[in-house]
Amino acid sequence: MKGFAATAPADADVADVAKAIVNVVDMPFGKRPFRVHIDPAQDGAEIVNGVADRVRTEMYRNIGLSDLLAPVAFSL
Amino acid sequence: MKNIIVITGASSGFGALSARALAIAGHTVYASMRETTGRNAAQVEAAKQFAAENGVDLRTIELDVASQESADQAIKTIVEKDGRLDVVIHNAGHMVFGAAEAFTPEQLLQVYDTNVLSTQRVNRAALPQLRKQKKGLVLWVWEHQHSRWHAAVSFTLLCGEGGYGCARCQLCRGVESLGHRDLDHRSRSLHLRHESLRPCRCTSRQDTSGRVRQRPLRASW
Repeated sequence: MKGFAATAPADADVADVAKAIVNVVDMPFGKRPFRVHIDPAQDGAEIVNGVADRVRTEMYRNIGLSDLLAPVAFSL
Repeated sequence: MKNIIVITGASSGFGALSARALAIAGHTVYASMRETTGRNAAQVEAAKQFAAENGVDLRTIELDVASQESADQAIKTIVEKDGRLDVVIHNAGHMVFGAAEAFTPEQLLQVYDTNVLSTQRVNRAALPQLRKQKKGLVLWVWEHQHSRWHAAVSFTLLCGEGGYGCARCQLCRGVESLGHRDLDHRSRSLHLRHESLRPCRCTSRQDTSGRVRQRPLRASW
């Protein structure tokens, strides 16, 4: 645990998370990013997710589900 | 636009902070938590005081993510009061730390329940309402462990994060497979640096001889 803690810079601010949440909520429908990373320690998650998201997107297209890649307000 | 928002696990940590920040931003926020009349009564009072001092609409509501009945009741109460629900924020979770081998299958099940199935309960309670409104936002808050698993750099995770990491990894990949044509339920995830931003709630720890001393999973909440 000490090792984990040591990877975080001293100025890591917990409020950044709350700010990011407010930003996402306040964005217009359909314009929000799929992910937001708050990662003061830069542990590589953004790179991993970037690869995973790209492959997932390709797969959705390949199987004909690309309409799921962006939200659409739907009339029932 | 002013949204009606419910956030789980909002008695402390990111949940409490985010609930306050959203209320300041002008939204009606239900900071949900369990034991609102028990051990979290002080958190309920603190939220009430925050709302009064800042002139914002921050409310608390009983929601134990371990109970479908509780989740159903909370969502029902919100919709009855406000007529709608716009945003669901999955924030509740429970970190465990210890050698993976030391956890009993039952304890891992409980970790899975708290960190994964909990969101399914809230979704099953809330999504029909969001769908009725024809759009909505589901926002997921979690940590980075799952990414390290997928990066095959997971030895850091295996040194103690196994139980929790497994569960959260499962949740993350499960969420990414969710696709709803009718809702903005393409989940937004905030990837958080768990270790640096949130006090760890250890439920088992390793002593110097490498043995793991287990404590009841809920003991440190």
